[in-house]
Amino acid sequence: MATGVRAKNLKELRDQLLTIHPESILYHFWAKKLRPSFEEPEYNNDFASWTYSNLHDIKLAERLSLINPGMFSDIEDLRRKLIEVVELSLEENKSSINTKEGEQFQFIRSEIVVFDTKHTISKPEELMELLPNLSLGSIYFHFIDSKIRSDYISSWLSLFGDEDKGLTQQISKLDPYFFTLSELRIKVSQIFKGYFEGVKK
Amino acid sequence: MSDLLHAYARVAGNDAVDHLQQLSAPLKGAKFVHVNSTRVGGGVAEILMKMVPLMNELGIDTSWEVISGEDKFYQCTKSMHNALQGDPVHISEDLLKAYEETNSKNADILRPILEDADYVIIHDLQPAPLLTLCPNRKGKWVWRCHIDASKPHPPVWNYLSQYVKDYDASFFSLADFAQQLPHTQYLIPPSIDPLSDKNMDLDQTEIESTYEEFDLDRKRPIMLQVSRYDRFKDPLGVIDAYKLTKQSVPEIQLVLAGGGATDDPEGEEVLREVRDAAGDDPDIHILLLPPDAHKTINALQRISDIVLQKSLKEGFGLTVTEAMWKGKPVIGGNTGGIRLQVINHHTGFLVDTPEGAALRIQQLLSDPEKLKEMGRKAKEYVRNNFLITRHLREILSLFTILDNQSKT
Repeated sequence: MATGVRAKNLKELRDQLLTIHPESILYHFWAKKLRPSFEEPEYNNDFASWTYSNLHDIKLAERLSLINPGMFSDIEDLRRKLIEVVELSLEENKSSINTKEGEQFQFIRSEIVVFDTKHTISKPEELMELLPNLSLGSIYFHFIDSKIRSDYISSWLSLFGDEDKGLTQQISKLDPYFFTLSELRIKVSQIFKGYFEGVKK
Repeated sequence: MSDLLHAYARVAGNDAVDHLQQLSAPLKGAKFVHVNSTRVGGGVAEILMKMVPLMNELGIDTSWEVISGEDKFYQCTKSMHNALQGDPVHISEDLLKAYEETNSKNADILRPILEDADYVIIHDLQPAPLLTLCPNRKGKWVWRCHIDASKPHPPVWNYLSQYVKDYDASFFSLADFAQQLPHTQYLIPPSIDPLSDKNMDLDQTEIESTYEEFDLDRKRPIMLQVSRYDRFKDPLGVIDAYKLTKQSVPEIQLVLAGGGATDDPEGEEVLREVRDAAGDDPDIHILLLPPDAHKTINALQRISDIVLQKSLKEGFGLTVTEAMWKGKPVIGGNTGGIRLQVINHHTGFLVDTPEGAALRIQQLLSDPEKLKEMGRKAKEYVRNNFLITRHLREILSLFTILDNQSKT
């Protein structure tokens, strides 16, 4: 969804960050993973990519890209960190580049529509077979979106008591921010495979 | 699953069709109406021609209504269209009166259908006032803007926004086009139908006959632009790019294939300008095709080496998607919806000038491997992002969200 809120330079970006809807901040950190891309992403979030591509400020792009949203349990803390990094750059560079028409930062929000994949499992071990073939959308939903909001996958695993506590811990520790969805699918598949093959031994 | 849904599943994948079935299940039997201003010509009509049957196939009772008017109405809406795309056009009171009266007359005819509908999509600015003219409406009404409205001429947008603001939501192809409105604005790019005459696979004999039909030399490279004769499509810029290319690739041939839309009164004038610019060059082929020449356009896109869409403004550019679906890299104007499809150096090239277009044409003609690889990527990019199944999934998602919002 468009918010109608735009920024054509760094100062405007800072100003809009002060009030933009928190869901928009989350969107610009995570939704990049769902968009089609022909290249390995140079930077991990939209703020960093825009700063690099449209403001040509590599230093700021690197600083913004290092902000890992998974490290912030409160979205308002994440907002403050973003603003802090942008303000530091504004202090260092008094002149602010204006982007061309069509290259402004467009603040966007999203709503998630969830589909039934018709895949159901009754115990964690069955995920080992299923994971390598799950769609990337499903990987995003279960290992990123659910994790941000309720950590559904860990909650489900905990239903099985302490038996698979080691697996739950590995999944909880997994930081998806620096992976593409394909990489994340491989990573979680490896965790499940490694865990259950180890258990069998 | 019906034969039609099977056919879509074969091209777009089983999941794509399964998602449509899940979304349409709660809407079965609901009355859904699309309204636009032309049944033939232009991207909106082409989309509706295929989307309406697909929605019915999914069990949603869908109809497509078309408003009509006299010359003054189309003069007004063409001026509004140009103004939304940034032209500082003044629209006289006389023309605005024709716009309002035409909508009022059409509302008298359509009111029973529209007020009874559960879901209504009003396409573009021509029928936008219908909402205010249907005070007893019971359904959800959404305004769909297909135009690059990134920088509209303020007086015209202010006039139109009085009609648009009361919709339950609106949707645009790109975030750049969104406006300040008091409702949620969704982002849904349009699509092509891979099963349509325009995009289906063709027999080789059908493709081969196109060379003869239009007196084209199969041994020499062909560059093509398919578009209405409209200044924003920059046909004169394409001729300039051709002439620049001709200096180093003398064997190049240019095909400009266009037709008119019934709601576009400027086409003939632009066509005259194009013919003047082409002069008597036998390698420039200016075609005026009827609105149902879908297979002809399909074949022209397939026999071309390079397809251009050198628009100066473009809401989306379905001809870009169509060409990419046929495995052709596209050299497109660096504007609007073309940017969403032409991923620079991957599915084609974005250009700002005829010189830029000429450079990329020569680059691709001199490297057939690169041309082939870009075409392959272009086709997969369309398969994953710009087919009708994805488009309808997002539209149905929008209405599902609106329904859920009103329940809570």
